[in-house]
Amino acid sequence: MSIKPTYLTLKGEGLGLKRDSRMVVSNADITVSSTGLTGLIGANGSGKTSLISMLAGLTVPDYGVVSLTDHAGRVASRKQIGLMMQKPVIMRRSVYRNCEYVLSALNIPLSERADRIMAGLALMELEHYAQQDARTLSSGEQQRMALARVLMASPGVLLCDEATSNLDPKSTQMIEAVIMDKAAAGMPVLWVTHNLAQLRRLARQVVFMQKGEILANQNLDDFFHTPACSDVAEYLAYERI
Amino acid sequence: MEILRALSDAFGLLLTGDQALYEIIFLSLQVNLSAVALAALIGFPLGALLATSRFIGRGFINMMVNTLMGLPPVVVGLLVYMMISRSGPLGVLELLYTPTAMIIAQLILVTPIITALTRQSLSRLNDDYQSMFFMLGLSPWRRMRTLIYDGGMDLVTALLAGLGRAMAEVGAVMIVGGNINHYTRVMTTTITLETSRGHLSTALALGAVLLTMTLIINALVAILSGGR
Repeated sequence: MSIKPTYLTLKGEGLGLKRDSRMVVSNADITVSSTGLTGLIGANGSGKTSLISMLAGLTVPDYGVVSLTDHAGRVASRKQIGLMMQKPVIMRRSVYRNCEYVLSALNIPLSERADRIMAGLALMELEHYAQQDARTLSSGEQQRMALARVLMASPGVLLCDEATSNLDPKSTQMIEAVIMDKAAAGMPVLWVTHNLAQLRRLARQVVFMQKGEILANQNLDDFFHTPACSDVAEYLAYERI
Repeated sequence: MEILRALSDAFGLLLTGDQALYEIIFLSLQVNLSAVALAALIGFPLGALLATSRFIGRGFINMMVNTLMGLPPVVVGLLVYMMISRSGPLGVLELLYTPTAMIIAQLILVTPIITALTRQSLSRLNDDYQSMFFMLGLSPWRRMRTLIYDGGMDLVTALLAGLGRAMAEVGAVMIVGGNINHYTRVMTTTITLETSRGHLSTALALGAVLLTMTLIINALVAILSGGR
């Protein structure tokens, strides 16, 4: 994929979300920019998915604003956000046509599509499955296809919500390697995970959530060695169990 | 013994290509396939709209579709009769006792089935695709096109279910078609008539054809729905 993408800054300010009069996310400030991969971590029900959903635009926040801007501060289109979820959307089509659908929806010129698709599939070692029904792939292959599909659209920012949960080590490793390459090249990535070991491998910055609030936003070393609060320290203690 | 003789006569009629019998079979197919094709033209987009969009009156339409699915055919026949009889609001069109009237009655019976099945399957598919649609910022029209394309097999199943209902229908077509020989006589109405006359061989021959067609339709539905 030779296309040079424009990387963007995704910012959530004072984000809040209410469900049945209970705040599932409160006053969350977060920035995803070209400063390396940002890991978002927290226990189940801490509000990570709600937060990423607001950042992606899938959920309208009850409080606060989300902005997506380029380096000059100009507002960018939401279509430039790439989203990878734990359960990817798999269309009832071949692998190739799953990818083509996205490129067509984003008005990528027809002449570019085939090259982009084959390069994207090759990156995830799926080129031999191009004509296979995507639903017949294993869950690891489906997730790799989903990542290839997102990346071939050259997103300005990438959000990944537990994208490697329940995947085999090979698929996890491949996805991590590609994500790390992209983050190193400047792509802003927000990576939601439960997995502290994975966080150590991937993240440069760590955001910790608990009960809907962001309690820490630190660089990786500080997060593990000088936790911002006792809740973080308590969470980290589980790594040793 | 009488049943065996009737069965033998029935197969004789089928194998010898009895003209009157095949005329009835072809008219049945013509009426049913026309009604199902028209019902699909209404039911597919309406079902897709109900599955993908939120709009004022959606709940009411859903309720009507569900209600109409359970509508007794004779009631539909009666309503269509009242509309197209000479004294009815559409009496001037002179549709009563014509194949067109039968198609209209079948259309009313089949459309809710195709609409409901389309809504059900595309609604599931829409849930699966929703986040992608949203992230790509697709228009409702493009979403609907995608769902109809990707849900193609489910829609064929809906079509066949509608055809199954149309093939089995007797009450409504009897009322609005009048069961006129060589004009509006179809398989189901002929079976009713010939049985009441005691002509079991013709009734059985048509019954066998009807049963075979219904079996084929149900087998296709089972194959296309993959055992779901």
